Amino acid sequence: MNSSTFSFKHELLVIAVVLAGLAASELAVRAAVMRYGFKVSSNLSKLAQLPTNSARWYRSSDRPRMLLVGNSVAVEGLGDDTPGNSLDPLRDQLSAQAGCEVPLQALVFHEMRAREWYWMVEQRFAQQNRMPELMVICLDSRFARDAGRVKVRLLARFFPWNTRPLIPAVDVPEFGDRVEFVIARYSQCFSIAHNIGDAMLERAFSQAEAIRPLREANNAGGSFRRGVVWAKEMRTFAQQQSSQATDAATETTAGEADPREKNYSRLIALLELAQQHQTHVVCYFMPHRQAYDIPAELSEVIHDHQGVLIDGRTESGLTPADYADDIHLNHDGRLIFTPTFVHRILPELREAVKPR
Amino acid sequence: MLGGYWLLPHRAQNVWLLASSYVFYGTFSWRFLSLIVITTLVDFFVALGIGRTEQQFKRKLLLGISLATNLGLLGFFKYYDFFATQTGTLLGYFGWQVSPWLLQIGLPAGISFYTFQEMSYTIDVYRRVTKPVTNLLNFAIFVCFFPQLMAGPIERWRQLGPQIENPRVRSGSDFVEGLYHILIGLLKKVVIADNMAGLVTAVFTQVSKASVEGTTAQLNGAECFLGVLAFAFQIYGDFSGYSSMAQGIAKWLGFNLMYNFKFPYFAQSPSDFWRRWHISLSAWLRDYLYISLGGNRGSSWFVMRNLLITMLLGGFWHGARWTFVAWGAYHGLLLCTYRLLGDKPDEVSRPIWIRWPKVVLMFGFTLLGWLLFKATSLQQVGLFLQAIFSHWRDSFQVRYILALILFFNLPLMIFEWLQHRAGDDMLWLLGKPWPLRALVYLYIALMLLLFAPDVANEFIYFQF
Repeated sequence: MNSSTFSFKHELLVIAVVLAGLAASELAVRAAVMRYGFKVSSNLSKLAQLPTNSARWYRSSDRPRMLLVGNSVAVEGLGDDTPGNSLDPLRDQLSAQAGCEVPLQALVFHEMRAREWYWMVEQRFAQQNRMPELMVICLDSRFARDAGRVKVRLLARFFPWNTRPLIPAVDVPEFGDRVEFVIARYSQCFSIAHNIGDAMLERAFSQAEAIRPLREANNAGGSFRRGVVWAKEMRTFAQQQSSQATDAATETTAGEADPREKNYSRLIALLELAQQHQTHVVCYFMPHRQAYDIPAELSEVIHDHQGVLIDGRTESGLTPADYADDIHLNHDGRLIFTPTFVHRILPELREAVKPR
Repeated sequence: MLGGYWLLPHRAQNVWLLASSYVFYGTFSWRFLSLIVITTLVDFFVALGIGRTEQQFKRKLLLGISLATNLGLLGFFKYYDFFATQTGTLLGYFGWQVSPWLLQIGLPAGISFYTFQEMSYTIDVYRRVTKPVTNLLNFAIFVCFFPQLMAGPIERWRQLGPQIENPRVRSGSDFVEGLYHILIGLLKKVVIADNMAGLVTAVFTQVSKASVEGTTAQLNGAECFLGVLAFAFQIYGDFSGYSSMAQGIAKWLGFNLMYNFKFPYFAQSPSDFWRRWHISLSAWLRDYLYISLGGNRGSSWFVMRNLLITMLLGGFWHGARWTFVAWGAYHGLLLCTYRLLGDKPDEVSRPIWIRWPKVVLMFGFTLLGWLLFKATSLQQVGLFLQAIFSHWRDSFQVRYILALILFFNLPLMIFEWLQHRAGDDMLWLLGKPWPLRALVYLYIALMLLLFAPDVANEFIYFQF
C-alpha cells in the first residue's frame, strides 16, 4: 500500500464498523444479563446472587451460622458443585454430628484468593452486619497470599468502590490491571468476556455431555487414569502454572520489609474483619495429592489474629487414588474427607457460640 | 507519545527514540542495560577503526575484537552454565567429582538478537559492504531500537541505518499499515499463541507426569500428536505475532522493518521453509556463516557439511540445550536430504496437486522438528514418538483439542493461504475493499475480547 491508495474516508469507515460492532456486543450482553442474569457461568451467577442469598440466609437462620470460604478445593473436597446439591453432603454430616441443623452459607468460587475473599466478606457480610459466628476458610498456602493475578474484572463488576475503596497497591497493583479494572467497571461485556468465550466454546463442542461419563468413571474409581487434566480445564491450566510460577518468584523476593505484611495483607485484613465482628475463624488447610508447606509466617499470621489453624493436609485414610487430579478429591475421596472435616470443625463451631 | 514524537524535529526524534529504547529495556532488565551500552561503544569504535585502516592485519584484529566481545558476552551469559555442567558430568564419568561454579542468573533480554545485529554491522564494514557510521547516537538507536530489540527481526545497518539517519515522513498509509500489522500481531499472540499454550502445557505436562509415574503405556498418541500440532501454531503465533507488532509500531514511528515470516507452513521444502521462517536469522546465518564456510562452492559433500554446520549452530543459537542442537541437526539433515533428491526453487504457479502434497509432507517434517524444539529432553522426544506411533486412539479429549486447534487457527490459515495465493502478498487485505477489512478487524477485536486468556504468557523468543 502506498499513500496514493490511502483513503482517509475508508479508514474512518473501517474504524466506525469495528466500534459499532463492539457497541452492539455491549448492548447485547447488557440485554442478556437483564433478561437471564449471569447464567453464562456458575461463578458469575453465584457472585450475582450473593447479596440476595446472604440476606435470606441471615434473616432466616438461627445461630450458630457458619460461613464457608474457599475455592473449588472446598467444593470438590466436600461435594459436587452442581446446582441444588453442592453442599448437601456437608450439611448432612454437620446435622448428623452436631445433632442440630447448622445454617451454612458458602462463598465457594473458582480460582479466587484471599483478596477476592476479603472483598466478598467485607461487602456482602460485614458491611451489612451479617457476619456469622464461625467462618471456615478452606485454603492452601498459595491462595492465602497476595501474590498472583487478581480477578480484576470480577472485582470491578461485583465489588465496586462505591462504599469502600479498593487499595490499588494491594488489590490492583499493576498498571495494566488498573486499566482493565476501569474498563470492566463500565463495560459489562468486557467484564464477563472470558466467561462468554468459555461458554461459547463449551456449547460449541458440547463438552459438558462428553465429559460426564469420564467424570463418573473417575468418581467411581474406574479405569480412567489418575492425574488427568480435564479437557475443560486445559485452557486455564497454563494460566494456573503461570500464576504458580509468579508466586514462586514473589516468594524469593519476599525477604524485604515484613514478609507477613508483604505476602498476606489481604488475609490479615480478612482475619481482622472477623475479629472486629467477633467471628471465630478457622483456616483449614486442605489435602492435596502432593504435599505442600505451610510457611511459618502464615501460621503466625493466623495465630496472631486469633484464628485457628487446622492442618488437614495429610488427612488419614486419603490415598493418591482418592484424587481426581492434583488438588481435587474424587467421589471416594470426598466420602472419606467430609466426615473428617466436620469432625474437626465441630469443636470450633461450639467455640464460636461461646460468649466473648 | 506518538503525537509528541511526530512534533519533534528529526534529531530530537532520534534522542527520544534512544531514551525510550533504554527505558523500555531497563524496565525488563536494568542490570543488563550496561551490556548494550558496552557492545554499542565497542562496535561503534571498532567499525570506525576498520574503516580508517587499509592494513589487513589491523582490520582483522579489530573485527576479532568485535566478534570476541559480542560472542564472548553471548557465550558467557547464554552457554557458560551449560558447558560448566556438561564438563562436570563428563569429568564424573572418569571418576572426578566436580561441582562447577554456575552463574545461575537469567539471560539478558534480547542479547542473542542485538549481538547478532551488531556483528552483522562490523562484518559488513570489514567486507566493505557498509561504510562505518560516524554518529554514535544513530548507531546506538540501530542497536537498541525498541520495537525489535527483544526478539528481532535482526536488521542490517544498510536497511535500517538510512531510516535513522534521514528525516522520516509521516503518512496516513503508514498508520493504516501499522494498524494492520499490530492487529494481526495481537491476534496471533493473544488469541492463537496464548490459547494454544494451555493445550501444549497440558499435553507436555501429562507426558512428563506419565514418565515420572511410569504410566507411559497409557499415553494416547493422538493427544501427543495434537500437542505438537498445537505447539506448531503456538510458536508461530507467538514469534510472528511479536514480529508483526514490532513492524506495526515501527511503521507508526516511520520505519520499515523487514518481514520475519512469510507463511512458513506453506513451505514446500526445507530451503523454502527457511526462506519463510525467522527470515532475518536465516539470512544472517546464510550471509555470515554459511557463505564464510564456503557456501555452495565445492563438492556436494562440502556444501552439505556447510549446511550441517550452519544449522547446528543455528539450533544452538536458540539455547544451551541438547534438544536445540538436535533440532538444528535435524533441519540440517533435512536440507541435505532434499538437496540430494534435487530440491529445486519452488514455484507458487505449479499445479495445486503437485504443490499440496509437498506442503503437507514438509509440514509433517516441521512438526517433528517442533517436537525436538519443545521437548525438555531427548527421552521426552522418545516418549512422544513411541506414543504417536503405537498408542493412537480416539477419545473425547482428542476431539476437543482438535476442535480448539481448528477453531483458533483455521481462520488465520485461510487468511494466510489467500495471501500466499496472491503471490505472498503480505498486505493483500489492504488492497481489498474496505468492508472486507472492517469485517476482518471486527473479527480480530471480538476474538481479542472474548478469547484473550486471563493471564498472558511471555513471548517464547524472549528466552533466546
